[in-house]
Amino acid sequence: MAKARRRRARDTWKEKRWYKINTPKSLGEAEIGTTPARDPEILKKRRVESSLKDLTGDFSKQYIKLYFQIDDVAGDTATTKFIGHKVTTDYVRSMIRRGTSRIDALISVNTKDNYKIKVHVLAITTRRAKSSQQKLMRETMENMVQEIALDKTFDELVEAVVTGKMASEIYHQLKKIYPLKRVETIKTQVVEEPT
Amino acid sequence: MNYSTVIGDPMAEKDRWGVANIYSSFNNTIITITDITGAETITQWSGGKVVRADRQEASPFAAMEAATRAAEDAKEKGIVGLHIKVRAPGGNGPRTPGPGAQASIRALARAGIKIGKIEDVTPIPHDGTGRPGGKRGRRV
Repeated sequence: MAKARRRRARDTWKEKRWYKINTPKSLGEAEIGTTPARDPEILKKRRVESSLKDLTGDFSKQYIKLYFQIDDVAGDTATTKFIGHKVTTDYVRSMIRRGTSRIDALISVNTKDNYKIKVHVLAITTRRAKSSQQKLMRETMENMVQEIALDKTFDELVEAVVTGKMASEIYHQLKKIYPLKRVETIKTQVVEEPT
Repeated sequence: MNYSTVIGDPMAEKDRWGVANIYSSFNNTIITITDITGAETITQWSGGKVVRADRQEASPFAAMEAATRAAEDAKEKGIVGLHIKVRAPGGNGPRTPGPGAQASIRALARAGIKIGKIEDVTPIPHDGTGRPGGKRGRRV
Protein backbone atom coordinates (compact mmCIF):
# COMPACT_ATOMS: atom_id res chain seq x y z
CA MET A 1 0.00 0.00 0.00
CA ALA A 2 2.84 2.29 0.82
CA LYS A 3 4.20 1.82 -2.69
CA ALA A 4 0.95 2.79 -4.38
CA ARG A 5 0.68 5.89 -2.27
CA ARG A 6 4.17 6.96 -3.15
CA ARG A 7 3.59 6.64 -6.85
CA ARG A 8 0.53 8.83 -6.67
CA ALA A 9 2.46 11.51 -4.79
CA ARG A 10 5.12 11.52 -7.52
CA ASP A 11 2.58 12.18 -10.21
CA THR A 12 1.28 15.35 -8.63
CA TRP A 13 4.83 16.48 -8.03
CA LYS A 14 5.53 16.60 -11.76
CA GLU A 15 2.61 18.90 -12.35
CA LYS A 16 3.98 21.42 -9.91
CA ARG A 17 5.85 24.50 -10.96
CA TRP A 18 8.24 26.51 -8.87
CA TYR A 19 7.41 30.12 -8.18
CA LYS A 20 9.80 32.77 -7.00
CA ILE A 21 8.87 34.69 -3.87
CA ASN A 22 9.86 38.33 -3.68
CA THR A 23 9.83 40.74 -0.76
CA PRO A 24 7.49 43.77 -0.89
CA LYS A 25 8.48 46.84 -2.88
CA SER A 26 9.32 48.82 0.25
CA LEU A 27 11.96 46.22 1.14
CA GLY A 28 13.62 46.10 -2.25
CA GLU A 29 11.87 43.19 -4.02
CA ALA A 30 14.66 40.77 -3.20
CA GLU A 31 14.13 37.08 -3.77
CA ILE A 32 13.48 35.07 -0.63
CA GLY A 33 13.15 31.64 -2.18
CA THR A 34 10.99 29.39 -4.26
CA THR A 35 7.86 27.40 -3.59
CA PRO A 36 6.18 24.72 -5.68
CA ALA A 37 2.49 24.69 -6.54
CA ARG A 38 0.14 23.18 -9.06
CA ASP A 39 -1.97 26.28 -9.45
CA PRO A 40 -0.91 29.89 -8.79
CA GLU A 41 -4.16 30.49 -6.92
CA ILE A 42 -3.06 28.07 -4.18
CA LEU A 43 0.02 30.20 -3.52
CA LYS A 44 -1.92 33.00 -1.90
CA LYS A 45 -1.79 33.24 1.89
CA ARG A 46 1.35 31.12 2.14
CA ARG A 47 3.75 32.54 4.69
CA VAL A 48 7.48 32.85 4.40
CA GLU A 49 10.03 33.56 7.05
CA SER A 50 13.28 35.31 6.30
CA SER A 51 16.00 36.64 8.53
CA LEU A 52 17.20 40.21 8.12
CA LYS A 53 20.67 38.85 7.48
CA ASP A 54 19.47 37.19 4.30
CA LEU A 55 17.99 40.45 3.03
CA THR A 56 20.77 42.85 3.98
CA GLY A 57 23.84 40.64 4.34
CA ASP A 58 24.51 42.12 7.77
CA PHE A 59 25.60 39.30 10.08
CA SER A 60 24.77 41.19 13.26
CA LYS A 61 21.10 41.16 12.25
CA GLN A 62 20.78 37.41 12.16
CA TYR A 63 18.39 37.22 15.07
CA ILE A 64 15.58 39.18 13.42
CA LYS A 65 13.02 37.14 11.53
CA LEU A 66 10.62 38.82 9.13
CA TYR A 67 7.35 37.23 8.08
CA PHE A 68 5.76 37.74 4.70
CA GLN A 69 2.55 36.53 3.16
CA ILE A 70 1.96 36.00 -0.55
CA ASP A 71 -0.77 38.31 -1.81
CA ASP A 72 -0.38 38.27 -5.57
CA VAL A 73 1.15 36.15 -8.32
CA ALA A 74 2.30 37.45 -11.68
CA GLY A 75 3.85 34.98 -14.09
CA ASP A 76 6.23 32.87 -12.06
CA THR A 77 6.94 35.42 -9.35
CA ALA A 78 4.85 35.93 -6.26
CA THR A 79 4.72 39.25 -4.45
CA THR A 80 4.33 39.42 -0.73
CA LYS A 81 3.29 41.77 2.01
CA PHE A 82 4.86 42.27 5.41
CA ILE A 83 2.82 40.68 8.20
CA GLY A 84 5.13 40.92 11.16
CA HIS A 85 8.51 40.26 12.63
CA LYS A 86 9.99 38.44 15.57
CA VAL A 87 13.29 38.23 17.38
CA THR A 88 14.53 34.69 17.95
CA THR A 89 13.86 33.23 21.37
CA ASP A 90 17.54 32.42 21.93
CA TYR A 91 18.43 36.08 21.54
CA VAL A 92 15.78 37.28 23.98
CA ARG A 93 16.84 34.61 26.48
CA SER A 94 20.47 35.64 26.25
CA MET A 95 19.59 39.23 27.13
CA ILE A 96 17.66 38.39 30.27
CA ARG A 97 19.78 37.96 33.40
CA ARG A 98 19.19 37.66 37.09
CA GLY A 99 19.13 40.85 39.11
CA THR A 100 17.90 42.96 36.22
CA SER A 101 14.39 44.03 35.34
CA ARG A 102 12.59 43.09 32.21
CA ILE A 103 9.99 45.60 31.12
CA ASP A 104 7.56 44.53 28.46
CA ALA A 105 5.19 46.84 26.66
CA LEU A 106 2.56 45.52 24.29
CA ILE A 107 1.10 48.38 22.31
CA SER A 108 -1.49 48.44 19.54
CA VAL A 109 -0.95 51.45 17.33
CA ASN A 110 -2.46 53.03 14.26
CA THR A 111 -0.18 54.38 11.56
CA LYS A 112 -0.79 57.50 9.50
CA ASP A 113 -2.22 55.44 6.66
CA ASN A 114 -4.55 53.48 8.93
CA TYR A 115 -2.74 50.24 9.45
CA LYS A 116 -3.34 48.67 12.83
CA ILE A 117 -0.21 47.09 14.26
CA LYS A 118 0.70 45.40 17.52
CA VAL A 119 4.19 46.24 18.74
CA HIS A 120 5.99 44.47 21.56
CA VAL A 121 8.89 46.44 23.04
CA LEU A 122 11.26 44.97 25.59
CA ALA A 123 13.56 47.02 27.80
CA ILE A 124 16.22 45.54 30.04
CA THR A 125 17.81 47.48 32.86
CA THR A 126 21.31 47.08 34.26
CA ARG A 127 20.06 46.49 37.80
CA ARG A 128 16.74 45.91 39.42
CA ALA A 129 14.41 48.89 39.05
CA LYS A 130 11.64 49.74 41.48
CA SER A 131 8.16 48.90 40.31
CA SER A 132 7.25 52.60 40.21
CA GLN A 133 10.16 53.19 37.86
CA GLN A 134 9.17 50.20 35.80
CA LYS A 135 5.63 51.52 35.54
CA LEU A 136 6.87 54.92 34.44
CA MET A 137 9.13 53.37 31.84
CA ARG A 138 6.30 51.26 30.48
CA GLU A 139 4.09 54.32 30.20
CA THR A 140 6.71 56.38 28.40
CA MET A 141 7.35 53.50 26.03
CA GLU A 142 3.67 53.25 25.22
CA ASN A 143 3.31 56.98 24.61
CA MET A 144 6.44 57.16 22.49
CA VAL A 145 5.47 54.27 20.25
CA GLN A 146 2.00 55.74 19.77
CA GLU A 147 3.47 59.09 18.77
CA ILE A 148 6.09 57.61 16.47
CA ALA A 149 3.51 55.47 14.73
CA LEU A 150 1.05 58.31 14.24
CA ASP A 151 3.38 60.42 12.11
CA LYS A 152 4.76 57.56 10.06
CA THR A 153 3.31 55.57 7.21
CA PHE A 154 3.27 51.79 7.39
CA ASP A 155 6.44 51.36 5.32
CA GLU A 156 8.31 53.96 7.34
CA LEU A 157 7.27 52.36 10.60
CA VAL A 158 8.34 48.90 9.46
CA GLU A 159 11.72 50.31 8.53
CA ALA A 160 12.10 52.12 11.85
CA VAL A 161 11.21 48.96 13.76
CA VAL A 162 13.33 46.56 11.75
CA THR A 163 16.48 48.69 11.61
CA GLY A 164 16.22 49.43 15.32
CA LYS A 165 15.80 53.19 14.96
CA MET A 166 12.66 53.21 17.06
CA ALA A 167 14.30 51.10 19.76
CA SER A 168 17.26 53.46 20.04
CA GLU A 169 14.94 56.47 20.25
CA ILE A 170 13.11 54.82 23.12
CA TYR A 171 16.42 53.87 24.71
CA HIS A 172 17.55 57.49 24.91
CA GLN A 173 14.31 58.53 26.57
CA LEU A 174 14.17 55.68 29.08
CA LYS A 175 17.81 56.14 30.03
CA LYS A 176 16.77 59.26 31.94
CA ILE A 177 14.56 57.19 34.24
CA TYR A 178 16.88 54.27 34.96
CA PRO A 179 20.18 53.00 33.44
CA LEU A 180 19.39 50.53 30.70
CA LYS A 181 21.20 47.68 29.03
CA ARG A 182 19.10 47.30 25.93
CA VAL A 183 15.84 48.16 24.28
CA GLU A 184 14.53 45.98 21.51
CA THR A 185 11.34 45.70 19.53
CA ILE A 186 10.92 41.97 19.80
CA LYS A 187 7.68 41.46 17.93
CA THR A 188 5.27 43.17 15.59
CA GLN A 189 2.09 41.95 14.04
CA VAL A 190 -0.11 43.57 11.43
CA VAL A 191 -3.66 43.32 12.73
CA GLU A 192 -5.64 45.31 10.19
CA GLU A 193 -5.00 46.91 6.86
CA PRO A 194 -6.90 49.72 5.22
CA THR A 195 -9.06 48.36 2.44
CA MET B 1 14.45 15.52 -14.92
CA ASN B 2 13.09 18.52 -13.20
CA TYR B 3 10.10 20.39 -14.44
CA SER B 4 11.67 23.82 -14.16
CA THR B 5 14.56 22.78 -16.35
CA VAL B 6 12.05 21.83 -19.00
CA ILE B 7 10.49 25.28 -19.10
CA GLY B 8 13.95 26.77 -19.03
CA ASP B 9 14.45 28.60 -15.80
CA PRO B 10 18.18 28.64 -15.07
CA MET B 11 17.96 30.58 -11.81
CA ALA B 12 15.49 28.37 -9.99
CA GLU B 13 17.60 25.25 -10.27
CA LYS B 14 20.68 26.90 -8.78
CA ASP B 15 19.85 27.16 -5.15
CA ARG B 16 16.55 25.76 -4.15
CA TRP B 17 16.19 25.74 -0.40
CA GLY B 18 13.76 23.97 1.85
CA VAL B 19 13.08 23.52 5.53
CA ALA B 20 13.71 20.37 7.53
CA ASN B 21 11.32 20.20 10.43
CA ILE B 22 12.75 17.76 12.93
CA TYR B 23 10.53 16.67 15.76
CA SER B 24 12.57 14.77 18.26
CA SER B 25 11.01 13.28 21.35
CA PHE B 26 12.12 10.43 23.58
CA ASN B 27 9.84 8.07 21.70
CA ASN B 28 10.50 8.90 18.06
CA THR B 29 12.15 11.24 15.58
CA ILE B 30 10.09 12.64 12.72
CA ILE B 31 11.72 14.48 9.83
CA THR B 32 9.47 16.46 7.51
CA ILE B 33 11.11 18.27 4.64
CA THR B 34 9.02 21.07 3.19
CA ASP B 35 9.52 24.08 0.95
CA ILE B 36 10.33 27.39 2.64
CA THR B 37 6.68 28.29 3.16
CA GLY B 38 6.00 25.00 4.91
CA ALA B 39 2.89 24.54 2.79
CA GLU B 40 4.29 21.85 0.48
CA THR B 41 5.69 18.69 1.99
CA ILE B 42 8.53 17.21 0.00
CA THR B 43 9.16 14.07 2.03
CA GLN B 44 8.42 12.75 5.43
CA TRP B 45 10.47 10.16 7.28
CA SER B 46 10.48 8.92 10.83
CA GLY B 47 12.46 6.60 13.05
CA GLY B 48 9.58 4.14 13.01
CA LYS B 49 9.82 3.76 9.26
CA VAL B 50 13.38 2.43 9.41
CA VAL B 51 13.56 0.19 12.50
CA ARG B 52 11.44 -2.74 13.61
CA ALA B 53 11.41 -2.43 17.38
CA ASP B 54 9.32 0.30 18.98
CA ARG B 55 11.96 1.07 21.52
CA GLN B 56 14.52 1.90 18.83
CA GLU B 57 12.40 4.54 17.15
CA ALA B 58 14.05 7.39 19.06
CA SER B 59 17.59 6.05 18.76
CA PRO B 60 20.30 8.07 17.01
CA PHE B 61 20.74 5.26 14.50
CA ALA B 62 17.11 5.36 13.40
CA ALA B 63 17.27 9.15 13.14
CA MET B 64 20.41 8.92 11.02
CA GLU B 65 18.87 6.39 8.69
CA ALA B 66 15.66 8.38 8.33
CA ALA B 67 17.60 11.59 7.67
CA THR B 68 19.77 10.07 4.94
CA ARG B 69 16.71 8.69 3.18
CA ALA B 70 14.90 12.00 3.53
CA ALA B 71 17.97 13.73 2.09
CA GLU B 72 17.94 11.38 -0.90
CA ASP B 73 14.29 12.15 -1.61
CA ALA B 74 14.90 15.86 -1.26
CA LYS B 75 17.91 15.82 -3.58
CA GLU B 76 15.89 13.90 -6.13
CA LYS B 77 13.37 16.72 -6.12
CA GLY B 78 16.02 19.35 -6.59
CA ILE B 79 16.60 20.66 -3.07
CA VAL B 80 20.14 21.88 -2.51
CA GLY B 81 20.06 23.30 0.99
CA LEU B 82 17.92 23.05 4.08
CA HIS B 83 17.15 25.34 6.98
CA ILE B 84 16.58 23.33 10.10
CA LYS B 85 13.87 23.71 12.69
CA VAL B 86 14.40 21.42 15.64
CA ARG B 87 11.55 20.82 17.99
CA ALA B 88 11.12 18.92 21.25
CA PRO B 89 7.65 17.92 22.51
CA GLY B 90 7.38 21.16 24.48
CA GLY B 91 4.13 22.26 26.08
CA ASN B 92 3.98 20.53 29.44
CA GLY B 93 6.46 17.89 28.30
CA PRO B 94 10.24 17.95 27.99
CA ARG B 95 11.76 21.00 26.32
CA THR B 96 15.05 19.51 25.29
CA PRO B 97 15.15 17.62 21.99
CA GLY B 98 15.61 13.86 22.19
CA PRO B 99 18.62 11.77 21.15
CA GLY B 100 17.70 11.77 17.46
CA ALA B 101 17.94 15.51 16.82
CA GLN B 102 21.67 15.89 16.66
CA ALA B 103 22.17 12.64 14.75
CA SER B 104 19.68 13.59 12.06
CA ILE B 105 21.18 17.04 11.47
CA ARG B 106 24.58 15.42 11.14
CA ALA B 107 23.28 12.83 8.73
CA LEU B 108 21.69 15.52 6.57
CA ALA B 109 24.99 17.36 6.38
CA ARG B 110 26.88 14.17 5.57
CA ALA B 111 24.43 13.36 2.81
CA GLY B 112 25.73 16.40 0.96
CA ILE B 113 22.99 18.91 1.73
CA LYS B 114 23.87 22.48 2.61
CA ILE B 115 22.72 23.45 6.07
CA GLY B 116 21.39 26.97 6.62
CA LYS B 117 19.98 28.32 9.84
CA ILE B 118 19.44 25.94 12.71
CA GLU B 119 16.71 27.03 15.05
CA ASP B 120 14.93 25.65 18.07
CA VAL B 121 11.17 25.98 17.64
CA THR B 122 10.00 24.08 20.69
CA PRO B 123 6.61 25.42 21.72
CA ILE B 124 6.96 26.98 25.14
CA PRO B 125 3.74 27.85 26.96
CA HIS B 126 3.20 31.27 28.50
CA ASP B 127 1.70 29.26 31.33
CA GLY B 128 -0.73 26.56 30.42
CA THR B 129 -1.93 23.28 31.81
CA GLY B 130 -0.03 21.50 34.56
CA ARG B 131 2.31 18.62 33.96
CA PRO B 132 0.81 15.17 34.42
CA GLY B 133 1.73 13.24 37.52
CA GLY B 134 0.00 15.21 40.24
CA LYS B 135 1.46 16.74 43.35
CA ARG B 136 3.36 13.67 44.55
CA GLY B 137 4.89 12.94 41.15
CA ARG B 138 4.73 9.82 39.03
CA ARG B 139 4.62 6.79 41.30
CA VAL B 140 5.84 3.69 39.56
